[in-house]
Amino acid sequence: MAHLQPQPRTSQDLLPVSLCSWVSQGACSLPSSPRAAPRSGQPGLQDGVNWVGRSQETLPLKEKRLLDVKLGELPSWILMRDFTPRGIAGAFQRGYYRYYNKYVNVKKGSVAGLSMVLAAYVLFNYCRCYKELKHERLRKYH
Amino acid sequence: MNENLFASFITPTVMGLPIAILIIMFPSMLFPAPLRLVNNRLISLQHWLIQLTSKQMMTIHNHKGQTWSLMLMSLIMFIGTTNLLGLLPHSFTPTTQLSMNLGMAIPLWAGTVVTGFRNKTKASLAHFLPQGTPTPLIPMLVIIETISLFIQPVALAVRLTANITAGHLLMHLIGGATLALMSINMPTALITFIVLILLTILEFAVAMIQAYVFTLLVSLYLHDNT
Repeated sequence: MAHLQPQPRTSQDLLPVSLCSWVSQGACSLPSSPRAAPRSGQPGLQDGVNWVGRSQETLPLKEKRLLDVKLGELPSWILMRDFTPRGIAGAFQRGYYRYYNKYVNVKKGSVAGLSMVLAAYVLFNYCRCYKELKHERLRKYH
Repeated sequence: MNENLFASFITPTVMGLPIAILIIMFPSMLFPAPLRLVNNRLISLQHWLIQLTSKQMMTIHNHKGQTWSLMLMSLIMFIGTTNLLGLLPHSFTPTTQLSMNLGMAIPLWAGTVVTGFRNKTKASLAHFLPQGTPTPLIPMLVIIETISLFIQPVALAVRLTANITAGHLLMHLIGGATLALMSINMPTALITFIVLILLTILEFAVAMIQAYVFTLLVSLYLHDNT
């Protein structure tokens, strides 16, 4: 993986130039195996995609990943995120590709990839019309 | 009950924000782009279906008509997916709204008519008079053919709206009847439930058939005019 460009996972990574970076980003997003504790100051494969040469604790706040942000730093981390239209579009795009590359764009995808999306759609619509639906419950007093 | 029956057809809003546009754009998320030579299963399945449909629909056209393939294939995919997604519980179906169906039907029909008039003016005008009519009947028949031409987009839109809306309404009603009958008379409720199952199967078929019919008719109007 030496050819991977080391880049911090900021919210500026919208619309990458080539397909490879998307596939590789999607493929190694949030490693599922627990990371070994990094030795002090030394980077390693345990740091996942964030290859800026420092371990997670010494990174500036803007470039840390959510699970590495301390609880006290959380409000300032949230406020530092990019809430411009470009940033929000980037967030949606990253979320879409994360789901797509995990469940659909695999060698032996199953019906679960599509049905999870449809289940979420049903849930969204249920929440949308809850106001009218709550009058149809079987209750003595509405 | 009356208010509940039609409540699922109003334009959806979430906290005052209309989200009908989001719901209309949602089916596009279910069709990923084929970026590789050998794609994943979802894309391969969709590719196979689209090839099957396009071969079925576009072989009757000449070269000029086949330039419309992209338009007609997107149309059938959109209407089919939207209708099928509307069969999920609590969802909103954009094709129940006459405004949207008119918005699809009128431009497409007008496109076919204008194409015909621009490229084959004499032949397009000749459509207004069937072959072999007796001479005294000609004025009346021209009027009738003109009316028949102008009613085509309205018929396209209303056909789709009425079919999908009627299907949804029937399912609401029969479902409500089943629930109400459960406490009164169980065997009748069971029969009503079987009717509901059959109706749901019909609705799945109707969803796809209506998409097909819409697209087929547009392609037919195109065939007459190219």
